[in-house]
Formats: sequence, structure tokens, C-alpha cells
Amino acid sequence: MSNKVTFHDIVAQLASESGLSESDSHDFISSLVELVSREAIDNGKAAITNFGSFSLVNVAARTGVNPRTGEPIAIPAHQRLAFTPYKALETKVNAPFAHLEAEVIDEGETDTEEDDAPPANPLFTPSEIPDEKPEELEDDPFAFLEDDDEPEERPPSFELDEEEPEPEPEPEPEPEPEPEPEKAAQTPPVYTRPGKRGTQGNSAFTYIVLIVIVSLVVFLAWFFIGRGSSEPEMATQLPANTEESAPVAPDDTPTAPPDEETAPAPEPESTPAEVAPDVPEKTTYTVAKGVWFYEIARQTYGRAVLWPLIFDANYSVDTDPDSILPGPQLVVPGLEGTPSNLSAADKEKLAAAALVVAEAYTKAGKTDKADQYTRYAKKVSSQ
Amino acid sequence: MNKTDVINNISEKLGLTKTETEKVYDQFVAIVGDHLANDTGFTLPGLGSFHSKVRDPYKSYNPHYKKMMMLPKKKVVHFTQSSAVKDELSGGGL
Repeated sequence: MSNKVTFHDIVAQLASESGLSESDSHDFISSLVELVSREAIDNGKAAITNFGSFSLVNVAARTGVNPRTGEPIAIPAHQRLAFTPYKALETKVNAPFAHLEAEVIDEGETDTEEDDAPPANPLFTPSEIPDEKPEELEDDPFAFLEDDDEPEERPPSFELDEEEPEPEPEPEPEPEPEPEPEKAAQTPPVYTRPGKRGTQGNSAFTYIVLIVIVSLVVFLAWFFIGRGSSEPEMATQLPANTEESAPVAPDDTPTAPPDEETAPAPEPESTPAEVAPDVPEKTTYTVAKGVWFYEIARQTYGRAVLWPLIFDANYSVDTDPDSILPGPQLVVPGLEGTPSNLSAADKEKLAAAALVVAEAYTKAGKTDKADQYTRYAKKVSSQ
Repeated sequence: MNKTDVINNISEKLGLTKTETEKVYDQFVAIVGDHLANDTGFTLPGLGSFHSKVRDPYKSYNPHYKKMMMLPKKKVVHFTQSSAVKDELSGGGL
């Protein structure tokens, strides 16, 4: 409050704007003020529409200090007239700072930028090549979805397995990432890993990450389609390799229960090195609170109906499928075909998994759901 | 008492039409709002004084995100009741 205008200034201004005489303007404001203060005091509430409302608030008794003598004074309980600006006035007054937004602060941080817009993300632009991604994605809340370029984040034992046979970059994983970015965008808070940066108020960062992910997917698609002619002979080599490495599978996933049998090992294949590191078939997924298999399958495969595969790979029939707990790392088995176009082996596996789910539901006493999944298993196997 | 009541009341008192009174009312609200937006305080005798002030940024806990947030600085309106109101509230003029 650097300066003030007098009441007379306001009267004169109103007179010149409204065309009333000054005395009429004075009367107008006086009677308005009179009405409002009268009503506020009598009823405890009054308003000047589009300006603000007044209300009487109770103030508790307290002990004050006489500033001159330092003696304590008892201040009795009393009432006070309080003012609450209307939204319109609040917005108008705050216009210079309207662009500022609340920010999440870390513990160590003591101060914020004041006048600037939320800090622009200086990390990288979408046009940059994907080589820089791995470092970037470690901070990325959805990093776990993008399983093809972050070997650093996997358990060490997993890395060991990858070193000898270079896992094959197959065409099938690339349709998977495509539906993921959008879904991740819908529900980012759930998957924010603790200790990482928050997603709120950082939408610019999120968008840039999404753009890069999408561009990487497009690049991978182009890459594989370009060499699609060489795929068939690779596919023929696949079954042998898969069987070979099947016993190794439990080692890959230390957190998986020992009863996982249907989970296939990552299908290794020696191929020429390439820009995008590798696309392992099997991934892990850390369960967040309140997420069900259905949602996990939607996140990882892009198709929720494939969730029996995940259940089968991680739990026995003694578990109620509806009682998933947060915390454990789940194994997400790979597919031979694509999620939208399952191979015969995948269908067989899915049918078996659905039967396991049905049995689990039976044991949990949910017969209607059990029937449902028995039918589902039949339907899948008959396709 | 809403805006219509206030306008009816004032228009009777001043002998203006309701339309005119409403126009003046809106102009009055716009004028005082402009003053506050331009950092100019003023007093309405019998009611209190108004001024605007920049509130410093401060930390606050956001229960939705379960995190501490830094709330940005903001210009807010302050009101101080007039001594006439104060006296009346404290028992009819001490």
C-alpha cells in the first residue's frame, strides 16, 4: 500500500464516469456503505456484489501487552468485521502474478524462482537422438515401461544373462510401447517412483519425455520394418533357443516364486548390434497400491485380457487373483506373437493361464468368476 | 440482502431509476477494484479501509499430493474495519 486515494477522489471519479453530480455520487456511496455496514453488523453477513463480502468473526479473548508500559492487558473476546474478496476482485488484483503456479519442493530446497514462469526444461529437445535417453529416463516416472533402453535399472543377475547372448530385437515388442505412452499420461501419479521427481507442475517435462518415447517407437518401427525380410529365418531359430534357455529363467527373476513355469526365458539371439540396445521379452513390474492384474496387463501388454499370463507366471492357484498386494516385482512373460495378434503357442499359454485363474477363483470361492475364466480359456483355445 | 435489494433501496433514496442505479453500482465496483489492482488503497467511511499487498511465497503442505508445496507470491486485498464499526461491535461506542 504505497499510496491511497481519499474518499473524495472516489466520489469525483464516480461522478465523472456516471454523469451524476458529485453530491449524488457521494450520496450513492454513502448509502451503499450504510446499507452494507448496517446489515453486516445486524445480520453478521453482507456483500457488495462483485466486490466482496463482509462477515462478523469472533475473536477469542487473549492477553495483550500495553506497548507503552509493558503491562499485560486482558483483551476480552469480541467480534470483528472481516472482508473476503469476490473471485472477480481477487483475479483482477492478482493479475500480475496470475501466471505463477504452486510447485512441489524438495526438502533441501529453500527458495523458489519468483517472477519467472515455471522453469523451462533445459534437458533436451525432441529433435535430439535417442542416444541420450537412458540417462534421461532414470528420472522418468514411466521409465519402467520403456524396457528396451535401460539395462541399468534391471537387477544385476538379469544383466549377467544378457551379456553372453545378445537378446534378439524382435519385431513383436514394438507394437507394445505404442499404446503405453498415452496410458501412462493418463495415470502418471500412480507409477511415480518414490524419491523421484514429482510429476505435478512439470507437465512440460512430461510432454517432452512422451514426445521422445513416441519418436523412439517410430524409429524402432521403421528399423524393424526396414529389415523385416530377414525375420523369417530368425523365427525358425527361435524355438530351439527358447528351450535351451528355459531353465535359466528363474535366475533372471529373483523375486518370482519358484512355481512359475510357463514364463518363458528371454529369447536370445545373436544379431548385429544396433542403436537401440535390446528388447528383452520378459520384463518385471513393481506393483503399485490399488493396481490389479487387469491394469498391469493393460500397462505392459496393451491388452488387459492377457492378465492371466501375468498371474500364472507369478502366483499359484492358492492366491485369490483379486487380492494383489503392492510391493512385489511381478514377472511379465513375453509373447511370441504380438499382443493384438497372438501366436498359437501364446494362445495355448493364455488358455492354460486362464484355467489357472479359474481354479484360483474357485478356491477363493468366487465361482461365477471361475466360470467366466473357464469359458474364456475355451474361447481362446478354440480360436 | 442481495444486489437487487440494495439497488432498489438506493434507487428509492436517490430518486434514480433502477437501471441507472445498477449502472452506477457497477461503475463504483469497477472503480474501487481498479484502485486495488493499481496498489491504491482507499477508505469507505463507516465501513473500513482497503488496500492491496503482495504476499510473499510460502511453503504449505498439500494434502492431495502429500507433499510440501511452495505457493507463489500473490497480491491480495486487505481490509481493516473502521473505528466506527469497531466501536459499535464492542458495545455501542466506548
